[in-house]
Amino acid sequence: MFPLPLHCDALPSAPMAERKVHIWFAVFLGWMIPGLGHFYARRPVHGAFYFVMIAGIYAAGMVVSRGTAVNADAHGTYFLLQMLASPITLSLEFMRDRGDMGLGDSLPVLAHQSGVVYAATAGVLNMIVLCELHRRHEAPNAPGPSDTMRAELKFRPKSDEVEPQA
Amino acid sequence: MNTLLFLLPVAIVSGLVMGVSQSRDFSRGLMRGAVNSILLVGGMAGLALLVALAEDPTILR
Repeated sequence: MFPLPLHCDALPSAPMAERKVHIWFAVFLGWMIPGLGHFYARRPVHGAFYFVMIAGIYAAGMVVSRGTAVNADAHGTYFLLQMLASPITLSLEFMRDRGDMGLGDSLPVLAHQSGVVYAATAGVLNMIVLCELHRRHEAPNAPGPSDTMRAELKFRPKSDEVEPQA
Repeated sequence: MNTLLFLLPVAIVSGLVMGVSQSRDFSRGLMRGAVNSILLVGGMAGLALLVALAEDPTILR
């Protein structure tokens, strides 16, 4: 009988740095579509989570503001932040209606402002996620900032388990 | 109050994404993200209460 393999590189739990992943291509993919870089890096759970969250909040911003969230003329800084979410922002900027938005009449001001903030927040979150993708590639098992010292003490081997050095 | 309701989804999503991205383990990150979200929403609610109190100090009577 053949023994069962104890280690398989195809399993998603294997460290990412052991595989041939071109990290800057993964970052580029993650910028194109949020979460796609994680799928490429074989971290599908993270990729799906980030896609649902970031693309969802971006789409929600567009829906809430009725498509007026992207506007480089009125909100230049917000537009730059929205560009971090996806280059789709650029195409939306070219496709948008250049006429009057009807702020305060057909479109409530708060809805427009909320949509702008939604899409800009999606961009900032995508930037954080891309940084996490790169950091996790460089140090797959390093604790993150949310892993507190207490958690690290929990995973640290006890003193009697450490082998004495020769 | 309307502003708080409009920004509620952003606070929840931001907390969750930051928690997951800053943690090594996904499930633990999700837990920490939930805590982040609660803190963000609570902070926003506290600020909204302060603003409402500044506008009308008699609302709590």
